[in-house]
Amino acid sequence: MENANRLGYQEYLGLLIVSTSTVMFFDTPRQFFLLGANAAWLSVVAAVVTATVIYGIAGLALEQYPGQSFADIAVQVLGRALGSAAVLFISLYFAFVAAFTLRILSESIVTTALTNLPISVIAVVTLLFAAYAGHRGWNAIAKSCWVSLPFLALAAFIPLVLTVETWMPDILFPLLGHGAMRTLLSGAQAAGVMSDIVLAIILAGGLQKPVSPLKAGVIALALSGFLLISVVLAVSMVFPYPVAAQVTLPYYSLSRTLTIGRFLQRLEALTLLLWAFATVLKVAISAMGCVTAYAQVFGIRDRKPIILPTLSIVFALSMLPGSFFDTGHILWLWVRVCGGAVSLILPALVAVVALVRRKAAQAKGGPS
Amino acid sequence: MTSHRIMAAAVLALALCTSGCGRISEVDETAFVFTITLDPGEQNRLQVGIRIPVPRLVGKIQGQAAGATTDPQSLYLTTSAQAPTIMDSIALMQTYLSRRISLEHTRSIVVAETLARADIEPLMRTLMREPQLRSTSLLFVSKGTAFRILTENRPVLEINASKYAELITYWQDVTGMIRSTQIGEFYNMMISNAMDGVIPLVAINEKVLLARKQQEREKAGGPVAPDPARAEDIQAKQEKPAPNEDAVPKRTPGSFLPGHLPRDGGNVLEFMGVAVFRKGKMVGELSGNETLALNLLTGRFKLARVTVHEPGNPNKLATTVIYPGRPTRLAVELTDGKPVLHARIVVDADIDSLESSSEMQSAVHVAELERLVAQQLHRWAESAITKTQAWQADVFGFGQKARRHFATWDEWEKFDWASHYKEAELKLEVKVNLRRTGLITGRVTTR
Repeated sequence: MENANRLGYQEYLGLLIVSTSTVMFFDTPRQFFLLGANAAWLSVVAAVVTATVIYGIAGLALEQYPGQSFADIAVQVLGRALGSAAVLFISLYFAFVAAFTLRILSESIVTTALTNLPISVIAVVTLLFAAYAGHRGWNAIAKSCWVSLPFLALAAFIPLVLTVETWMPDILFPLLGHGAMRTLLSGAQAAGVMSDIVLAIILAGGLQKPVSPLKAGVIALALSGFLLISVVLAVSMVFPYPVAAQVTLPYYSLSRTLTIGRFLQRLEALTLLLWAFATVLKVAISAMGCVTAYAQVFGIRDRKPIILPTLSIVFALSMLPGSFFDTGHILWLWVRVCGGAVSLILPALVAVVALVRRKAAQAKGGPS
Repeated sequence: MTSHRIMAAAVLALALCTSGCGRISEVDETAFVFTITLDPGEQNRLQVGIRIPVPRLVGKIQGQAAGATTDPQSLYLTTSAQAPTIMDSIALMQTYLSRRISLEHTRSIVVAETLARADIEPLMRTLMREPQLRSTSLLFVSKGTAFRILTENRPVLEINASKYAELITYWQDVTGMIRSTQIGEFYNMMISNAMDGVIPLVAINEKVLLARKQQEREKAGGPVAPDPARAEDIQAKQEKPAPNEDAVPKRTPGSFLPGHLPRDGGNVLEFMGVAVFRKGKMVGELSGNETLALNLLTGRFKLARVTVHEPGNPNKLATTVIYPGRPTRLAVELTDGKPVLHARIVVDADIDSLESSSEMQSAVHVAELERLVAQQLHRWAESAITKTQAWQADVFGFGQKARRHFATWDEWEKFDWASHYKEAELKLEVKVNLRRTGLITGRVTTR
């Protein structure tokens, strides 16, 4: 069963792209407008580059340990207690990402489409899907992600291509937003927004063939970064800066402006289906990321018994915020920026310490 | 196998959940608002009017294709309510309307001029926040009471009043004298610190309305009374000899404001010119001609007609069809912190009509006609820009070009474009290229 459930390279890549790119659908673009004003796209570039550099360091170092799970490496390097704590933190991070993505998905659907539906109904249906996906295992989730990639690309590019006529490139000026340093630094500090790429490290031990998590991770970050930058740029050219920072769901608002001639309007109904589907996958991925990291710490071979308890915790966490506003605030500041940054830095830290120790041991003539 | 059956059943069950009825409301229990009007209230802060089609009647009339014989007003439910906010008014209406009011299909929103002059920013924020309303809905400013636009509107050619308003705005592509504005577009301009917004003007032609009411009274069996306006005309015609053609003032169609077009018959509504806003406050109006210039300067221009005196024959008139030649180029130069506005308009033109049979193949005549059309356009554009400079309302987007001179947002904000726009120097260039002369080129001399 374990062997059959191992991932191929393409599925692995598809999984990472879906996991890191769904942030563009909710209020992440708006948060970047708050950071970088009309130069929000520059902040996104800074965030993506920073995340790629940190992930690159972790990926480069961990390539020296093929076939080993991250938990094993962390325990070897930091000791049982600290190593387990590091992986548990990442597990917890994924639980929070799953919970708050679930909540923001439910709130967004209630705000935009099904106004009379209780959020708990949307949350439960999404978690039922996640439970089934978890039951089928990573391979099924990853294949679904691979199949859904063209739809994700459609979801991203329909609003971009069809709003070209309304783009006002002049409003990208002044080019530096709040100033080059402030814009880039604030963007770099928000690198945690791409930290779901840590999943590449968590899953690295479960690949069918020995493939480089570094290469797949960097490609996923580049593609997701490109999508996020494209969306933020399009929003920047359609909504003048103060408006872009006020819009609750910039991607949705962008798709509401779509019209093709006189007759084809209301295309947001189409894009809504696409982003809702991608986000449902994202919730399943994050929840399973939490389960996998947890199982690695405690050496649990059969993950199925812990799927339902994990999803129950995710559901409970998702219901904690009082409002859409609170959800967005917590998801951005505490989960993405703070939690994400720590989750991104931890593997890099573990990998660098592991490498330094190995070099030191080699210098002493010990085992490499 | 069992698990596959369970999955199939689950998928079918989910499919049931996703089909229609998203808001738990049946279509035949919903009242779809087509038009909203906003007026200052007398008993409360705001008077909100709505127009809802009566589906069974609209469908029936459309099926019979006999709209002309039916009063279009009878196909709609028109009502208004006064409350502190728009949504409060809608809630108030819900206490006496049997169907659930839905704003999802609202196509037009008409704001009264008095309200527009006060400040419509709070209203725009409400409209933009409401998920039911679309940012693509059309905005209008009415001269006089907005609710009267609903009650007096009888579009003869259309059954659907919403389609009427929509179609009228499409013809900005043919006349250039009106302009359509969507809520989202206006909101963006209102919040922006580099550009201001405009909203098309609509008004009731009281003379046409009076004549229509008289006709209705006569049809209803009332005594025939002389129409005051028509009586004056008849008297004037009887007293004075037929006017000398040259003595009749030659006013271009776009020089009028809505409500005052020289015409008889047809629907009472007139769409002409735009209301100019500085942020959320209406500060002035542009005539049809100035609106044409606005469309030219903002790249929204498609086609228009310009009439000038014939070259070499000032008693006769020449009408040209103009259309975009090159994209309009706007630029702002900052000299010692003072802006200089550069605008270059290039249009192509065809001769539409010449009253005399003078030779237009002559290069001198062609150049002169090009110069006259360019002069006309220059005058309208200059007038529009000068007016908006006085109002500190940059509706042309010069500010969008000015922001290129700044590196950071804070520097740009500190510059305060509106105050600099007021004192900016204008360098305007209009070039017209006459391309075609129509099917008749000129006089053929036979000896």
